[in-house]
Parts: sequence; C-alpha cells; structure tokens
Amino acid sequence: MQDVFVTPPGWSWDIALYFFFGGLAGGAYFVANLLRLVGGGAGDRQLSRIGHYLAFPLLIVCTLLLIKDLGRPERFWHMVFQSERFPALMFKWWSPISFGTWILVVFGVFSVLSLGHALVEGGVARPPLARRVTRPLHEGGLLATVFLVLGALWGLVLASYTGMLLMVNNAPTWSHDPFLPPLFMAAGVAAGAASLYLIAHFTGAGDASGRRRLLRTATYALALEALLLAASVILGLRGVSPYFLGAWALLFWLVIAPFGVALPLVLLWMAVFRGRYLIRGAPVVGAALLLAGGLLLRVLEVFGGQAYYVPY
Amino acid sequence: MRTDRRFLAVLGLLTLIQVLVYYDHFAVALAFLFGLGLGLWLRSWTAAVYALASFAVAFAIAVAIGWTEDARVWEAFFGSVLAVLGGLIGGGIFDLIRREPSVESPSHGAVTT
Repeated sequence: MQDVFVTPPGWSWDIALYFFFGGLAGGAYFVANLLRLVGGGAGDRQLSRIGHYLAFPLLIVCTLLLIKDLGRPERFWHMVFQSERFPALMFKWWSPISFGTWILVVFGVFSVLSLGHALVEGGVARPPLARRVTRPLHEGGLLATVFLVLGALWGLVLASYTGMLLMVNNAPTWSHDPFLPPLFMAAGVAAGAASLYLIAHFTGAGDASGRRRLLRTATYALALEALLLAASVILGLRGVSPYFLGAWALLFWLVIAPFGVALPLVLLWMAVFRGRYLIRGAPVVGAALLLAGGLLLRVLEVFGGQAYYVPY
Repeated sequence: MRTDRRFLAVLGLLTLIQVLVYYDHFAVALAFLFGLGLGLWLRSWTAAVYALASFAVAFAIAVAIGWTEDARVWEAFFGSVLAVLGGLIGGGIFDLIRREPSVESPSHGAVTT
C-alpha cells in the first residue's frame, strides 16, 4: 500500500447509517412512485403507500444523524439559512455539503407530501387539507405524473448523492472511483425494493403480482449493483481501495461479496426468473441478505475508506 | 406492557450492549438500530417506548459508572430521539398497514376487509 498523508474526514457510525438509510429512503420512494406510475391496481397502490410511509421518517433519521455528526448540533440551521442575513437561504453550489443539504430539503418536500397522501388514501388519517393538497399530486392527470416522475428521480439523486460525496472527497480510497454514485444508487433501489417486499410479505399488503414486481426490481437493481461493484473492485486494484485494505478486505471478500451480494442475487434470480426456490423462503432470505449486505457495504466504504491513513 | 421472560432478556441484553459500547458514537447509532429491530420484532409502535427506556437506562448507567467522558447532553438527546424513531418506524409501519381498511392475505392474495 502506498503511503498517503491526507487526513481522513473522521466519519463514524452516524455517517455510515446516514449513507444506508438515505439510500433506502431514496430507493423506497423511487420504487413507490414507480409502482404508482406503471402499476395502478389497489394492490400496487398499497405497496406504493408502504414506500411513502417509510421515506419521510427515514429522511428525518438521516437529518438527525447528519446534525449529530456536525459536532456543534445547535448550529445546524446554518446549513439552510445565512446566519448573518436570516432568513436568507444558504446555498453554495460549489460545496458538496451545501448541495447535499438541499437535496435532503427538496426530498423532504416530496416525501412529506406523499406521506400525507398515503395516510389519507390508506384511510389512516383524514385531514381535509392533506386530501385537497396531495390528491392531485398522486392520482391521475398530468400534474400527478410530473410530481411522481420528479419525485422518483429525486429519490435516485438522494440515493446516489452519498456516493458522490465520497467521490469528491480527496481521500485516495474514494476519489479515484467514479462508480461510487451509481453503485450507491443501485444499492439504494435494491434495498428500497427489498424492504418494501419484506414488509408486504410479513403484513400481507399488496397482491402477488405486485410483490413479484418488487422482487424483480430488487433483483435487477442488485445485479446492477454487483456489476458496478465488480468495476469498482477492478479499478481499486490500481490504487488504494477499501476492498484490499487489511481487515476491511476480509469483511468485503468473506462477508459482503459472497453473502451480501452473490448469494442474494442467486436466490432472488432463481426465484424470480426460474421459479425455483433454492432454499425454503428464498425470496425472504434473499431480500434480508440484500439489506444486510447494503448496510455492510456502507460500513466498509465509510470505515475502510478511511483506513488508508499512514501516520508519519 | 410485555413482561414475558424472553422479551425482558432480549431487552436487558440490548441495554447491556449499549452500556458496554457507550464510549463513542456507536452507542447512538446502535440505539436507532436496536429501536428498529425491536419494532420489527414486536410489530407495534410500543417498541419505541421500550427502545427509549433501554437507551435511557444504558445512558444513566454509563454516566453513573463514569464510562462517558462527560455528561454528553447532545448524545443523550440524539440517542433518545433516534431510539424512539427506530421503534416507531420498525413497529409503526405494521400498525399503519393494519389500520388500513383492506389487507390482502399473504398466502392466497384474496382481498379481505
């Protein structure tokens, strides 16, 4: 390993969890909107509501994790407003952190509107204002299509942004890797579809065809994740990479690659496209492994990515 | 309130783990994951109450035996909120779907009301 003297950013578990749950929120929201756009039956709408129930609360969790990581949490509002000219907004287009803040804010607007609509449509709550405001954005018409498409795209932006944040960092483990944003996006969509499938499976929500659609989405996204991960690993051979660094390499080669990517991909692929369950409850096991693999991948990238530092 | 032995043992173990790791940021992150796990296990929003209680007890013990560097108010705050959110998200999603008027059977796909 070459000696490098760039100080690591000092990211801890807060950031690892933020990367995972941010991707999950964006991916779940993307899949939920997709179900509403291309599905349409009552079963699809119920599955879509699960994604909308999840996205906003997970965004709150991500925001809290980020605020906690600031070191001075009471100053979090400086990320959104200019402290000297309140309430003028703070936006620095050249700063990835400022950019990320606004990605979260805009996603918050999309996801809270969808949460309101899901609560009304699901019959859980009936505030008249929420019905009037959110219904045209989610049911029929051009406005709904535009809102759902933009929201779905923004979910992808949120999921891939965390990879972008790593890529623009000057740490040698991340800065060379242009595959990180699409890798995190694919992992986010896979995790979103898998979590929706698991919740639907255990609650009985949706119908069989909708659940199959979720599994297909998770499988395609996981296949893409595997390809991008392979590309990232090959690129890592030329420089410093968390895939080849000490104990982190063991985590990747002995746990994440075989049990968090390959095995769930085989289980889901065989179940979805061949109709063969290699083990009992293969789709559930595959989806659960996929989620665990997604979490460990973020842990590897955050901690392993900072393990390059050689003190001098 | 759940008082069965298995549940109390798991809750005690989760609390103990939080006490043991209470020297860095991991504890707060763990509070959220434990809340989420409890929620998924209990399938009810009440998991938020148990997660909060577990975190509060763990934090209090850690402070009492001096395992925290100082009284970290922010960590207590974020740990509590994240524990509650974990329980609410993990368990609340099941509550929400149960409250919806129609849920289809997982085995037959038939609509029941």
